[in-house]
Parts: sequence; structure tokens; C-alpha cells
Amino acid sequence: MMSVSNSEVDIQARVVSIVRRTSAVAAAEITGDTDLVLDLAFDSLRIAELAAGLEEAFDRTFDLPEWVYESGGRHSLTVGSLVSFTVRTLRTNAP
Amino acid sequence: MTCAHSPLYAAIASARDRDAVLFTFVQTRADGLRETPVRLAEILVDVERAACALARSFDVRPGEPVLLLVAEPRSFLVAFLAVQEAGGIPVPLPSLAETASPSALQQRVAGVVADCRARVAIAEDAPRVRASLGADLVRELVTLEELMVGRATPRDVAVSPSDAAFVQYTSGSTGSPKGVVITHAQLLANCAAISAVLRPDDRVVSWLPLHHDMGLIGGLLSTLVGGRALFILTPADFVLNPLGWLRVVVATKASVTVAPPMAYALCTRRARRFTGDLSSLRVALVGSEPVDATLLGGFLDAYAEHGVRADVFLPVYGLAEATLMVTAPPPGERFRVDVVSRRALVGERAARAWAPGTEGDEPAAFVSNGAPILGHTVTIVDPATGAPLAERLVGEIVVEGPCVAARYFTEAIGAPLRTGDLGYVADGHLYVAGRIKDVVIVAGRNYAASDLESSLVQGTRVREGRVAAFPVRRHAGHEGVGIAAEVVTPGDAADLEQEARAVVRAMQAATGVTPSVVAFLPPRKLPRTTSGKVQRQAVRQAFDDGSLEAGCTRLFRFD
Repeated sequence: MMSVSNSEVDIQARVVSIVRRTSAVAAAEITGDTDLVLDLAFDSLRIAELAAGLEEAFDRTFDLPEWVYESGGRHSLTVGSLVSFTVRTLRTNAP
Repeated sequence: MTCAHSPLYAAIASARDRDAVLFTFVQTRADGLRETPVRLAEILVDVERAACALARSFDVRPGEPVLLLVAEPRSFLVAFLAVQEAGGIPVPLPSLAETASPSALQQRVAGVVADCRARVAIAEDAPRVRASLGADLVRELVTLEELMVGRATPRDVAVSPSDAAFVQYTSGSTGSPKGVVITHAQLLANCAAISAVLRPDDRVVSWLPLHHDMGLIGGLLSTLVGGRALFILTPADFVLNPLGWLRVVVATKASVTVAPPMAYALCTRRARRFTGDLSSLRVALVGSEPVDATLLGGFLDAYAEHGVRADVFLPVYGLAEATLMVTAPPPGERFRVDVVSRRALVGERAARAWAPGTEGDEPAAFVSNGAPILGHTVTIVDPATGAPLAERLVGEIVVEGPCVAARYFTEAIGAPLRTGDLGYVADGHLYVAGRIKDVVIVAGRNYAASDLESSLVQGTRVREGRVAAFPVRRHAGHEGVGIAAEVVTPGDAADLEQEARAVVRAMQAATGVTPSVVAFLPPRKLPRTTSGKVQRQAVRQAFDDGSLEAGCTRLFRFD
């Protein structure tokens, strides 16, 4: 089970791996700035798959925030924002 | 003047009374469910008005594709039927709300317009969509409200069963999309096939997007044509609150739902938070992705105490080129699992029973997708020769039947339909084992291309994600593996030769396979889709026609 002692670097590596697997973008160079919607064409089904992938990898639930669906809002769903969200979620107690 | 309705319109209109509820739009909120019933009569009135406006004001002609960038279920259904009634062909696409990105929407629409030359689009939030698409991409961009200003009058349009009902573009891909043209006859036949595994009084819950074939046909249209009760959520509601889906099942006493496997996985992890009785649920259709027995079993274990039946899952196989559903198991039986030898699977391309305790072997479990729907045949053939294979031999799945589409928008689809999927048949049940294009066969053994590519992450300077493994012809007709890759800091000729040997060592160490060809490409020259996906087939074609060797920095052969 993933614990909060994992470094952010480890978490980032795992998140990137999940994004790559979910997007089927075997050849994408995924960085923190990669936008899942803009660059990787994620739609709602892919986002749901991504959530399922995170939950499998970290063995806990990840309730996605509403800004994932805020079209044109101040947030964008980048790998970096996803890593930050993952780190924050892992630091909460409830699995 | 004629007012003959399209076959789909007629089927939906005749399946229930005009005053009956056609479906219920359900929004899941923190304070409970908000239900909005939609009646058949109001839908039909709006369809008539919108169809007239499309034909009269926007000059939509018979057979003309019209893009639908609409997610809200009521508006989607009105727009979909109105385009058909006007003689056009609806082309459902993700809406701006669905893509959540103006640029992504622009890319997606541009790809589809390049293929089908659509002139008219119906969109939600048209001003923002217009700003996203630019002035030139689609000539006429209208909202449903703008189509409602006139009154309905008879139209001189007749739509026959052999006419196109809609065009299904594959979801997700933004590069060179292909639209499958589905006729009314095919659509209604597939709806009937889905209805055959359900009951007339079933109550269906779906949250799947309506631009997706499983949501459009499996969730919406088959239910409306079958006259069953339907409760629709939005995909966003599901993603933000997966348990809301099951709560709708509880609240509506639904007996049927439909979703890909990951949806059940998300709910399994949240089972401890769930309260409610799911014993009304009789059939959970599951498809669209490979189905994993452990995942289904996990859901059954987690929700048994909430009344979920052990025989609830109905794993189905299908694809857009066959309208949607191709095979389904009989309802009322627990899903069937075939446990086979992985060694035989890789070495002999055969699905032989796994014997526990066999040294050097591991089990591989496949879930049955059942038997072909009425009037269809499924054959397993050798991918190279097309020759039919015996039971339990793994080959390409080939489909024939009335639901198989004849064409993409711009090219024919060959018959019988070569699916590109690998599978085998045992005891009349189809088992899906992967995708052909992702497999490289070396000395009779199957290797996943992604595994071969991943083997180069360690011990080489291959740029991560900028590598393609593909089959190459060797002597005496045998196949080998080719590698095309971009490398970090490409050096001189001697340096590249060293790097090629590093690629060979890394792949041998990780997989036992020696690549026959290693080609290094300049930065950003590896063929990829605009969504970043490696185009392995394009790489293979470039190798076969010599353009890969001509355009690469260096190519090494190791035969």
C-alpha cells in the first residue's frame, strides 16, 4: 500500500506511468506541463479510467475535484496538477 | 410533400404512448437526486421544428453530415433525431463541456471535418464553441434553441432503412479519425439484439457519454426503441461521484445498467461508503474494454451484502464497425472464465487448459463474451493467411452479419469484417485475447509491442516514449522485430553503433528477443498521431517501402 512517506518524485513517476498507460500514448513525452485534455485528448471516460488507475496504483480512493470539469476555468488538468492533487490526497488519512 | 419519418424516429415513437415519459434525466447532488422526466410528445414536437429549420433555413440535404456537439441528453436526442428527419446524418462528437478544452475541441472537430466535410454543426454554448473553432472550420454553427424559432411544416424527405442513421467516429483519437457509417437497418438490428438479452419491463440506468457508441446505442437508443424505462446521468456526475451511479440504481429500482469495467472498479473501492439495496439489478452489461475476471469478482464480493446477484454481469464484445454489440453470453448465468496456459498461449498461440503446478508456466484467465448475436457469425482466422482456425487456437476475430457496416465515410470496409482483435472460441463462447496491431510474432511467439518498447527504458539512450517496435520480414518468410527510435543526445556514427548494440542487449536481457533492425531517427520524426500515440503501422509501412531507411539517421541490421 502506498504511504505518505513516498517522496513526491516517486509519486510523480507513478502518476506519469498511469497517465501514459491510460492515454495509450506509449510515445508521449509526458512532463508536468502536459495537459491531459489538450495534449492527450482525455475525455470523461479517460478521466474515469485515470481515476481507476490511480486507485489501483495507490490502493485507495481518489475523489476527483470539480475543477477537472471546469471548462476554461482557472485550473487545467495537467500532469503537474494531477501530481499535486495525488500528493495532497495521499496526505489525508482516510483511504 | 411527404412526412414519412425516419425508421429510428418511427421505432421510438411507436414504442410507447405519446404522453409517456421517454426517459428521466437524473442529476446527482449532495442533497439528493434531481429527476427531470422528459415526455415523448415534447421530444417529437421539438424534433419536427428543428428538422424543418435544418432543412429550410440551413439547407441540410439528404445524406449530408451534421456535427452534434451536444452533451445534455434531451437536447442531444432532439438534435440527433432532427438531423435524421431533415435527411441528414448526425455525427455525434464530444461537446465543449465534455472535452473541457477549446483547443482539444478544435483539434477534434478539425479532424472530423477534414474527413466528412461537414458544413453544419449543432452545439451547446455556441458562442464559446464558435470562439474555439474559429470562423472557417464549420460554416453554420447553431444551437438547438436557434432551430426552435419556426414552426413545423411537412418536409419532402423520405428516409429508408438502408440510409445512414449516423456516423460513429472512434473516441479519443484526434489524428486521422475514421467515421463508421451505420444505417437505420443496422442500428435497429443491433438495438433488437441488445433487447433480446433484456426484458421489456427492464429499467435501465446509464451515465455513458452519448457521443460514445456504448452510451448512444447500448444506453440510450436500444432502451428507447425497446420501450423500456431509462434514467440518464451525465459522465461528469459519474466521474465526480461514482457511487452516485449505484445510488440512482437503488432510487429507481433499475434492473439494468451498462458501463466499462473501470466503472465497476471505482465502485468496488468505494463499497464501504455505500448504503442501499441493489437487489433490483438483474443485468450489468460490461464491455468497451477487455474484461478482467478479478475485477468483476471484486465487485460481486464487495456488493453481495447489498443484494447484487452473482449472475449480474453480462460481458459483451463489440466494435463500432459492427454497429456495437457482436456477442453476448446468455443472461442469468455467472460470467464464464477460461483459465489457460500462458506458455501455450505465447508459444503455440493456443488456449490450452492450465495445469496447476506446471513448472515454468503461469495461468492466464479470459472472460467469455458469449455467442454471436442473431444472424451473425464470428470466425477465428490466421491473421496472416485468413485461413479459419480450429477451436481454442488464437487468431484474428472476423465478424459477418447484418450489423456490420459497409463503409467508413470515405472508404469501404472490407467484408467479412477483420476486427484487428485477437481471440479464440471454446464451447461456442468467444474469448478476446488482445489487439493484433500491438503484437509482434517472433519464431511463433507473441510479444506485446509495448513490452518490447518498455524493455529499452533501462540501459539505453532511447527517448522514453519515442520508440516503436514493429514486425519485419526476415529470411524464409520469418518475422523479426524492428525498432525505430529517437535517442537522447545522438552522437557520431561510432556512438550510434554503440547505442544500437545497447538496444540489442537491453531487449535481449528483458525479453529474450534480438531485434533484427534498429533505426535511429532525428528528433520528432517518429510517426505519431496528434494525440501523441505511436503509429506502429505507419512505421512498419515506412520500413517496408524504404522511406524509414531513407529518412533515418542510421539503420543497423542484426541478421
